[in-house]
Amino acid sequence: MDDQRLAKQLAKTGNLMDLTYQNDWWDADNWDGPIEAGVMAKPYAAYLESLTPEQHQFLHRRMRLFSILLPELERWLQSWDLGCSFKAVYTEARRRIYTHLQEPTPEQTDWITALIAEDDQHLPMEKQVLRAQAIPMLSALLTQDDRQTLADIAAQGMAQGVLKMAQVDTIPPVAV
Amino acid sequence: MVSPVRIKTTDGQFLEGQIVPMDEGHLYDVEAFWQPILTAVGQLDPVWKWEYKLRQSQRQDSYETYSLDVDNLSQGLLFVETQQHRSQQSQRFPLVYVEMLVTAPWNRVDIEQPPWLRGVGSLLLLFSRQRSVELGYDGRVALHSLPSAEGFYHTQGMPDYGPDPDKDGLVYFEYSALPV
Repeated sequence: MDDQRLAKQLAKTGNLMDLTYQNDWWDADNWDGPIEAGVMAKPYAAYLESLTPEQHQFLHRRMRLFSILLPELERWLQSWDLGCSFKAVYTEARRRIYTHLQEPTPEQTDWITALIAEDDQHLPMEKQVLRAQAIPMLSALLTQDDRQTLADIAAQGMAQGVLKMAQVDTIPPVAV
Repeated sequence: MVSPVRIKTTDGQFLEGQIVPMDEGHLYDVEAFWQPILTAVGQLDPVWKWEYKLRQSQRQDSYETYSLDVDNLSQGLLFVETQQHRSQQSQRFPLVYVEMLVTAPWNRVDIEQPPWLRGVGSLLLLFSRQRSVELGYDGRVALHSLPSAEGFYHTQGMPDYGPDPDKDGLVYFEYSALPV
């Protein structure tokens, strides 16, 4: 880490993280090994060593799948106008989707493989045919029970929001 | 507090991400995505103790936990202590102490060929310096590296102060203040 450069960046924008938007900052990072720090990281490092190549491959593939599906899920749920319930509904929905895809059917497996391959091509969004199927796919994965649960969570969030506002309204008005 | 960042994949693409305080959702993500099999409910975090760290950061102002999120998934985690640690140099200035810094399994170059993202470690380290600046510690940061990662901290220009017998012999690294 070039401290002179960091100091210049601080003077310029006050935020060191702006360096990540400069390509040459990334060029300087060519470390090809572990980065773990802290005594508490020891069990995690040992865990990583214990994984088989197949398990690593499985984790990588699942991460790739969900790094495509989760932004689509978020985009879809944003169209539901959930207001203050959004985060709770999104959190539950992603759990449900995760569960349903733990053991994908052969058809789903083929689709997932093709979806990741399409993502690897870095096509413009409008040319990603399989990604465009992601929301219908997510919709098909959610069961009636899932939908009811999400609706209940949304309703609870709304109710809590209303009750909170009502509580604010009980404060006596300030005399003017 | 959300800190937008940009990060690079190994095939040269840049992705938008953000460093955010860790919450319950991240806890679930780490259990669900960083392991081949999801741990049963009620048995979260049996080894890594992230649940403990999250609770500690919620209860005590001096502890902070962060996640680097890209595409709504946690790609690396950072746990820092901000009030109790002091520089081990002659003048014992306060600093940010990195209690733990880890990257997701698929970003480990030594394991994954190719890994998904590069530079998660340097990005989280940079963020810890930013926190140090925000707290008035002028960029001072310290940590104990795992033996396999010492080379990384050397490449980051972090001064090496040798093994620390109080930390299982792990090597102590400390950044001084940034130049004015």
